[in-house]
Amino acid sequence: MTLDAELLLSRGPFTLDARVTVAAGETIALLGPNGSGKSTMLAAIAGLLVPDGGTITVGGRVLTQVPDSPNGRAHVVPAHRRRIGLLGQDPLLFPHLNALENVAFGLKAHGMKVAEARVRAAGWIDAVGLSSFADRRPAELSGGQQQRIAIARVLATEPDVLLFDEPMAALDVQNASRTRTLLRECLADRITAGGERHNITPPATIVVTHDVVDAMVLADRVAILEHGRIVDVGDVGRVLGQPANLFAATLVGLNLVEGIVETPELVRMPDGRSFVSDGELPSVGSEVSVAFPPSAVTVRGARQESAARGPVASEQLALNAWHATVGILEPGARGIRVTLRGDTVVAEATPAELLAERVSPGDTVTASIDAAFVTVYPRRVVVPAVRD
Amino acid sequence: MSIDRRTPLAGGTGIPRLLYLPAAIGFALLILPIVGLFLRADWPRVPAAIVSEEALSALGLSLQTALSATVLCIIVGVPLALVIARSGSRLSGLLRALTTLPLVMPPLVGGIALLYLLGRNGLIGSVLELAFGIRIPFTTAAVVIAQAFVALPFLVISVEGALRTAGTRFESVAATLGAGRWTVFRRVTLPLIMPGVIAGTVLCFARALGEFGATALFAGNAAGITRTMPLAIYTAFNGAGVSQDSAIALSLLLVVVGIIILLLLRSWRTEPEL
Repeated sequence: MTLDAELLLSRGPFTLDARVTVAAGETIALLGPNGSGKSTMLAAIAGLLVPDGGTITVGGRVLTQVPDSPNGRAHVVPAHRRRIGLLGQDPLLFPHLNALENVAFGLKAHGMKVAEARVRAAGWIDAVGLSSFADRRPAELSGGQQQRIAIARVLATEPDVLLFDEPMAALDVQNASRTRTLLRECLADRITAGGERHNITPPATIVVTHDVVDAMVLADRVAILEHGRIVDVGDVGRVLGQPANLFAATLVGLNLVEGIVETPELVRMPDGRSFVSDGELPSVGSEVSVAFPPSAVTVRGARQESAARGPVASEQLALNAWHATVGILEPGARGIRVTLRGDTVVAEATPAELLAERVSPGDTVTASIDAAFVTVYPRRVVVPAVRD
Repeated sequence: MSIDRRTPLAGGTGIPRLLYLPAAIGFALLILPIVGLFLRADWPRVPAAIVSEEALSALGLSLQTALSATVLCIIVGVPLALVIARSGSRLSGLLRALTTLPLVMPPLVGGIALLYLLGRNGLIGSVLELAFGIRIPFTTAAVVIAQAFVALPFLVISVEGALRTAGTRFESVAATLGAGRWTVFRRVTLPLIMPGVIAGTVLCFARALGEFGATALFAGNAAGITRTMPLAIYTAFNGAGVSQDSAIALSLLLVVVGIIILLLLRSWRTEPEL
């Protein structure tokens, strides 16, 4: 069943004003920096908090409706009647119940007979590969095992909507990878207890994460939430492959600048810098995003610059090159990251290269970009959810 | 340089030696009076004093009333603790302060207050007498009420602490799994706070068993009806018919019952965490 959540919520200076729509069987990854409102959105959808305004429906059934007018009456279906499953980064298994009883809990709460609930729970524990641990208390299980039992517990109730709030964040790399694979199989509906599904429609799923791998492995679509607003939404390949905002660009390890196509070969930024790309450019006059990896940015120390390069060097400076002041040096993904003062662009180079160029913080350098690694694409602007 | 092997290196540098002195004095203050009681006892006559009809009647009444008061405290105390723990910080602070008032009040004052509330001319007492012909003061029921009045805060504080430690996260998860409020309370909240409920229950029972002041004023000292162990000890000590020796014997009995309760509490506390 399709989830449609349109939310308005204010907490002091923070405002959440966002809308997400997720189809049955679809998984959307909700990415965003800390404090962007991701978990708040999930809590509102799960019915654990009441927003200041907005409507949440699942398959047309209204779960939350809060009119904007102060004297309108809010309609909020309580969490236990929503058929919405929630899994956070902590497994939160009930410590007084063993693994089997934890998984059976939701089934019993839905009125299933104890014996049947236990049989079904055992099937789910088997499905997550922990059948020999069914009688263990949570304290006797590892963090990864606990999270897998928690996955079995939330899936067992076959909810209409699944909400995952950074489900891998508390796990080490190996367990995270294993759990991610398990989740992928669950979402692809390849894992069910004993092969039987009782809820015919597959769930609409939201995965909150700030790990790009989660989005790539689990999601059909990606939404980027920043400062309480959806700033980009669409296919994984487009939102992350051709990022439209700095957060997404940083997440996938790209520099991002914006400009206007000035000539069929050249893009100009508002600050006067210009870029050329080896690829084809959108039509002249259109607003574009320019993306390139930090490793495509080369920084040259001023010393070498002054060592008589001649007029050729200054001509090159006009295209894909500019003078900059080095900010800080820090460990990067593939070497040392060099930030440039007053600029979002970062460079990345091997220690040897930086030593040869004698680049250190505060130095004036020439930064240049290899046109072969520059991608230029039309700038996407997501219109905020229209509220009536 | 040699290392003192008796000093565990892990877990800090140990206690400053000077502090052992006040610690010893404190311990002596608690234990020596009880040791004195044991030494002063006229042991050959202790068995007779303990199995005397009066002593057994007082012990029976004490156990019966303390147990009733404890059950009453659990029935109203656990929900009260839940309300305090789940209220907003301002309201819960106010409720907590009011709930713990009997702790800082002399039990005698509590007895007077109960008398003025439930007595023949009291706010509720007069209504009860006029409408239903019920008289509470100087009955066994009055003993139970007096005991519950002084013992309830112990249970509430203990359970409320357990509720705060448990938090609401497990309850939220249970709700998203489809459990209604009542199911969440029975199957998640209660099991999670059970160690706190048990500790609170034992403290509550112990306090009810030792209750004297409020009982004396509100329930009186009628043998077989309101004369619980502490009142029997007081009566015996004042020499009303019995010698001081039987007062000591009765005191010893109460001490032994107290020790058994504390041992019970200890064994519950040292049980492996759920």
